[in-house]
Amino acid sequence: MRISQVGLSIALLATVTALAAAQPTSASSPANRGMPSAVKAPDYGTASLTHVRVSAMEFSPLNTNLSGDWYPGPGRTRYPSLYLGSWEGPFHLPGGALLKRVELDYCDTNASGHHVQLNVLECDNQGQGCSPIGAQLVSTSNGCAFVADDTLNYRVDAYHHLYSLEVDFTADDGTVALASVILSYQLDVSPAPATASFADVPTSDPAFQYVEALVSSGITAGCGSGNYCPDAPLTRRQMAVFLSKALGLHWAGF
Amino acid sequence: MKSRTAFGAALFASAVSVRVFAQPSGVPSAPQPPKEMPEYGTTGTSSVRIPAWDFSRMDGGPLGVGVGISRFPADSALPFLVSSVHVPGGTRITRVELDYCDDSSSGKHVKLELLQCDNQGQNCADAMSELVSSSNGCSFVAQSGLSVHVNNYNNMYTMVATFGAVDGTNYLVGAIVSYQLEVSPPPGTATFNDVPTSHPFFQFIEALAASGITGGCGSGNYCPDAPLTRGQMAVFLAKALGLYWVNQ
Repeated sequence: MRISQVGLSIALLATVTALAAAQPTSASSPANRGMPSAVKAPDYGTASLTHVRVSAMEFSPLNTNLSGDWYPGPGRTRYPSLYLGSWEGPFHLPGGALLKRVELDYCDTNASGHHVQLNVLECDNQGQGCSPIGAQLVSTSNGCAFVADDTLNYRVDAYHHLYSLEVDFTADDGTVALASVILSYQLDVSPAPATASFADVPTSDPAFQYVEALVSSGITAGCGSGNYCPDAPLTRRQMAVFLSKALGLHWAGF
Repeated sequence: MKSRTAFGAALFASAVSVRVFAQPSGVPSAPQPPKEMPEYGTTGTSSVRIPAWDFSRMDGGPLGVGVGISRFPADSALPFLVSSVHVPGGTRITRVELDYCDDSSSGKHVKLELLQCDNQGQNCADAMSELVSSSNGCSFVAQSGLSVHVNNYNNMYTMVATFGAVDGTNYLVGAIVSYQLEVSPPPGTATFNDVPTSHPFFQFIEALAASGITGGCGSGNYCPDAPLTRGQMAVFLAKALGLYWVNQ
């Protein structure tokens, strides 16, 4: 399955652009990749903002030969040393989260208007039909700084879409460098379903949306006889079961 | 604008790994189970492994695959390998372990550093003492008792591995970062009239309010001593976990 899909990718590439044809070759020799995708965030967040960083080293060039083209810029930043073009970084956010803000951290000393640019892309599951989320972020020639878009309110659907950060460099002389991209998101509770799971928590109940979320998540099955008993006091014993299931608590050795 | 089709096709190889991580098990039907719950840990100790293949050689030179699933620089340049560190913000890193294979008999070893930099990757400082392998085959060395408070918004964290030899006697297998969740220190002023700064649960109730999990019981109060119903519990839990499913 995977091989045939990669084959499809190769075929599509060959028909569209010769430049991009280097990608399948490099992708098939991961041992020599300069920058693999790194460990992704065990970060989950709450209804307040949570920040996830995608560092420069986690971006991969799509349209250059992957070996020998990358050099460290100042600090932990990176820049293309030979070819211009796009770097891509897939990102992982919890499904249902609201993406609120994107920040591009860079170093840019180019005096001739050559800059580093960031697009946040949403694609379908086959990587087609990509469209940008929010505005393009563009560096300015003021050294090491950041530029951000605080106006996003995008709901992440990690099942129906794949997401990627696309960074474009317009100079390869070491004057424009990528440091990282910071994604900030909030968790969100699903909208209420149309029908009720419990007889005593109808769709009109103020807690309906939240009780249904617990049911769908396997955290509760109710109090028996098709009811949830929403007004029953919670004992500390019941509290222990709710919390342990909800958090998937485990301890060392398991 | 460049062709999104070309971009999308090129992206597919990486998309495979994305989908493995993101896709819920089973056939989708509404409503879906909650999205994957990434391991986030508790106030107990959680550990995240950074295997060798998550380390990058920043000069683009070749990497060799050594003993088992380890890696080492495959030429004589003695470069360093780097990796990002992803642990939840607000946590405290308590331990870092370096796993290695070292068969060198001449004191050439694998070293591991944890760096904390600013958002532009500048002004990096060591967040712990350097870990160094010894010449005793495949083993590990660790530093316990660390107290590195993680701030993902203001700081960039990087693992840096260096090698004392490129003759196939020094291998990086990976690093293991252990951390604990922590509740934020209490703020200076109280949000609720009935939970003053002197209240024994002030810190925790403020944490719930700051995280959007509770807005209190009305009239500027939280009602800390009121019994909790199962219905109220559902609201707390669903908001705290951000429970969400895919709507088809």
